[in-house]
Amino acid sequence: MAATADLHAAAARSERWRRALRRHITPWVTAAATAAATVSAVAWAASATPNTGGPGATSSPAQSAWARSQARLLKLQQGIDSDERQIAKAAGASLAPLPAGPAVHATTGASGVVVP
Amino acid sequence: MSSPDGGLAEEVSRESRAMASTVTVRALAGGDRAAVERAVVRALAVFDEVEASCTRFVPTSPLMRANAEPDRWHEVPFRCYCALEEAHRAYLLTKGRFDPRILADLSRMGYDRSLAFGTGAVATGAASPCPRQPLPPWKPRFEPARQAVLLGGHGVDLGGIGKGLAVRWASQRLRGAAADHLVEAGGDCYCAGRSPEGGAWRVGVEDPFGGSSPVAVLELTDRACATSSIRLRHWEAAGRPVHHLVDPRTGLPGGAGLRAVTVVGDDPAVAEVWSKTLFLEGLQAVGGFADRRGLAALWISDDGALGVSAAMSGYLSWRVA
Repeated sequence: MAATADLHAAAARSERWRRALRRHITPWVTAAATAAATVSAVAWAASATPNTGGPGATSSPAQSAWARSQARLLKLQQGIDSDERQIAKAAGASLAPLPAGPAVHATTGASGVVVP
Repeated sequence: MSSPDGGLAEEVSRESRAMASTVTVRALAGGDRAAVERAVVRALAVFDEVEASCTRFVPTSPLMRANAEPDRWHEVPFRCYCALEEAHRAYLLTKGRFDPRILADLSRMGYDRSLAFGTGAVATGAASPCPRQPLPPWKPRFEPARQAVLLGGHGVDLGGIGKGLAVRWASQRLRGAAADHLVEAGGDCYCAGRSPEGGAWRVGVEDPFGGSSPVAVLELTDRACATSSIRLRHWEAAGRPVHHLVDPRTGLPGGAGLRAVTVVGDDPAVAEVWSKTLFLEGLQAVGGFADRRGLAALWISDDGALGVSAAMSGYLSWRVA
């Protein structure tokens, strides 16, 4: 019984840790994504022909600028994703393995009440 | 029960939607799996039967026809008749603390139709709720021979007790085919026999603040449990926060200081009645009320503190620190 209680306490600690980590990561990812989008938009605005750039544009230089800016944005996003995975991996490695929480067969509460 | 080789027992599990809830039936198939499957289907059908006859959201339902003219006799379907009788028994058992004549109070606060709970803030155009005069004693009349009722003056809401009764009746339909089963519907459940792992059924008590982990785990064998919680069914009436657990003494939402109360007992309908009654007692009185009546109860206050009655400790296998 004591071992079970320890296990559940560890699970609760681990869950709190994960929540804190998510709180830490989310603003960082948001800020980075905003920066990436800004860089991309500025690059596109600088190279595109007014009123003809963007998706569906017919002028070739504008299309190229759009494609380049999109490629840069994609690369930045991939970098962010990669960094996020690295952080998550590092965090996972430094945490004790998450024990199974209090596994239950059913739940009592207001759960399950869904209004169509 | 565990299989002879120590593995998990074969299980038949079905889920459906009824009574604004997800209904789950799990039954362990010892021998005749086909018979268990048939019993599970019949058990689920109980919820549709109860909903059809006892819903208050369909004006033509048997209950609402009786509610429309509460001072006349009405012949009603078997399930509705039984539910009304049980509601009156619960009224007597709790000395009027449980009283289904709160239909008009709910309607006054705008809960006269299905509201989109769980999808964000809900507001109704209802007037600001205010206390009303206490109701006179409830004295409905019943004629079992023709399944007729005379409600006596006021319409009734069978929402909570109806679900508990549906769980009871569904379990009764399962017993012949599967001694080990679990019926769960919107917070009310009955745990018969053993779980697939061979031990007691483990029931998590939901965090009424919306957290994903339970705040406690109960171990139940041949026991029911029910929870009255305001996590989901709350809304605004004239800018004032209200919820669906109405105190029949005032006609206003009750349960000061409480978020949820869970009760364990022999029967799901009775557990449902006591969970609501205890909730309405409010934080100051809930513990003493439960202990004086030997009720196995667990409650969570507005500030997140968890309390348990003496009788609940035997069912509690885990709780948050």
